[in-house]
Amino acid sequence: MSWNASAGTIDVRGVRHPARATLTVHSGPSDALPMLGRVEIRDDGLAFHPRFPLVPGLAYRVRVNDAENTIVVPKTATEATTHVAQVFPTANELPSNQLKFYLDFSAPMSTGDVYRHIHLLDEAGHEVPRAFLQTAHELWDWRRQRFTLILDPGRIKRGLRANVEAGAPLREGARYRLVIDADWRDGDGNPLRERFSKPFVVVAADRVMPAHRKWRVTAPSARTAEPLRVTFDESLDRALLDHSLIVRDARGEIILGDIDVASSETEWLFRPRQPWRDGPYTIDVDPRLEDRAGNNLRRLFDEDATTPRSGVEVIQVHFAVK
Amino acid sequence: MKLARKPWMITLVVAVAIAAAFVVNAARTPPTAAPLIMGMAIGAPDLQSAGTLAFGPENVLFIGDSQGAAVFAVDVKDAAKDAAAEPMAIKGIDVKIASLLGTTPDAVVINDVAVHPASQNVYLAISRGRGNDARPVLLRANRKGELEEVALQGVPFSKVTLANPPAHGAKTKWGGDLRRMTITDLAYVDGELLIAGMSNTEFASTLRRAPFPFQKDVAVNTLEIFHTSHNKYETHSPIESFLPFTINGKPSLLAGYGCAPIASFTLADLKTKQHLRGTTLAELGGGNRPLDMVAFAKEGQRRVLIANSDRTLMSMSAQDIDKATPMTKPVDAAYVSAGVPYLSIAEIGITQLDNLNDKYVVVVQRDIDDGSLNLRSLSKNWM
Repeated sequence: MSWNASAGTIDVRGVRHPARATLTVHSGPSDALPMLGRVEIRDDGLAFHPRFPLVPGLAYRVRVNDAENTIVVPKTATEATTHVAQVFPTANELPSNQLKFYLDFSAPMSTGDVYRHIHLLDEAGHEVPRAFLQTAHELWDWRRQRFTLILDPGRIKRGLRANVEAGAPLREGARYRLVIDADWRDGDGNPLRERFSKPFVVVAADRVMPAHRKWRVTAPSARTAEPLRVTFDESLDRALLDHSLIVRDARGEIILGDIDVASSETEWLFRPRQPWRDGPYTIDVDPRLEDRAGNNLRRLFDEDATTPRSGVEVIQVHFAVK
Repeated sequence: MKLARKPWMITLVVAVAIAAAFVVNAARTPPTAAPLIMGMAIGAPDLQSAGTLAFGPENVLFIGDSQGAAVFAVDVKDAAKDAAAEPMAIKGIDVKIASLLGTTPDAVVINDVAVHPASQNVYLAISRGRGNDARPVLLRANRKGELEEVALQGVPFSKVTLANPPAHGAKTKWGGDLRRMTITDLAYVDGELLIAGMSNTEFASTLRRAPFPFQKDVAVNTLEIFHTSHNKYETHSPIESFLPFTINGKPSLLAGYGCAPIASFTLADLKTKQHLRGTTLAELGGGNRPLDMVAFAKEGQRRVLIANSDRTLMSMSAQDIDKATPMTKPVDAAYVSAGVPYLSIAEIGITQLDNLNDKYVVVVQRDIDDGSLNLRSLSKNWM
């Protein structure tokens, strides 16, 4: 008999009376369940179409009647190329109540057990224990390229017991490194190209809401496609900046364009697809837009619930193009 | 810069609700098919991931698909009633599933377990692989512990999508919207599917309510609670797991949060208020997440079982939950529990939990002696 395999088919030729033969495929112990798949009877043998592709490098024992053979789909040698492309916030001074990091990878990653690969190290290189909120469901974007890492909010909120007992994970004045191990596997199962380390120093807690009144709008010139530039009063949350600002013309029509974020997330740039026209424009700002400490335009992250709310329901920023 | 005051939030919420929901019904309907229930059509649900499971009316299994930002309702045609109150077990379930799927146990992720209320078959939502090769698989185990794949082709199904509202007009440097809601728990109550989710951008707690049979609109509630550890500051933490439960005669939700308060919301409030504040009833102790909750009755008394990430299995009585007063005082130290008392049951390492029958719950449990992963039945007798 001849045995051949690709990820999608196991081909066994030279089988006598293929219609009466039995074929099973095992990846686990012999007494375990055979692999799911469909057996096709051919003139000179049998073909097995596995329900799921064979895993390269894994040994499969294929049994036809009493004959058995082990088949391995070769693993194509691949280089470790995936790396941490960026970590947000990009600044290296962070408030002690920093809420989130976004880890941007250059390619899709594998999921599961991610927190094992992420470390917060203090100046002496000791790991800060329980620094992150480990959710049962990992927070990935749909591409599996951006991971949302939340610092344990129980340790950030003033007055919370965990905060009193353990202190905030980040202490003002101290230096830290956010380290991502190279053995975190990418979507193809390869390790990262290199270990990643983001050093930063912790400054005072941010207990101030972002204030749109302090933002500076640099209006573009009419009949150009120059970027509209909004300069914030502080660094804002990178992910939320993707969808929190909407530009409208005087009639309320949404202007289509491309977003960029610069200067440690203190600048939002918007390039229209069509040149700007003379006249007034408005930027609708979603008040749920947060700064790095999770304070949004309506409330502080750890707001004292006894203070009355500001009642702000919409925020509009106006500018004119000339 | 001017400040305009308009009821924008309300319109925003409505826009979210409408933009977030559209229903897929038809794939193909063969002329000879048996009558289809609940607005379903025959076809192949295009699951991108199989996450949280919950049974609904009839034979409907809801499958949360976080990757595809959708919930599927599938008629699993599994009506054979099993009235026995017997246990079932599968030792080394990850190894057995890996054999069936032709892979290694570390490439098998059991995302959820749900027991069919009539047949007592155990449904398992699986991910085969963790990377680019990851595929969703739905398996079923019968009382004898035999595993089979539940075919998801040519089955009656419907789907509701939970996509984020489009990022108006703006393209990011990644060319699209990277927001995603991860579905953390599902439950069907009185014609509505409740969907708890966690966003990968906003740190917020959102509960979506989809009428079933699925229709166009999904209602959205935002929730907050007072954290048990303090009487002053509120938290918008996302819900990890929840359970429909009647408290003082009122149909309610018991919601479990990371780090680890238990709070309640009444269903009536969910229907009338967009934003609501829950009542915090218990603090299970910090450093822990409630992973799964089920309700059961023992000697006529209703109880709640809670599986935890970093603590034992816990059992609470409905009487104690009814009597609970809203917690407003801090606990004394980091790992102290408070509020509704619980019985700490000598079972640890339970990651999945559901009612099997009147006498047993079924769990997925890591054995700390030999490291094996097992599907086991635990008697409700002592819980």
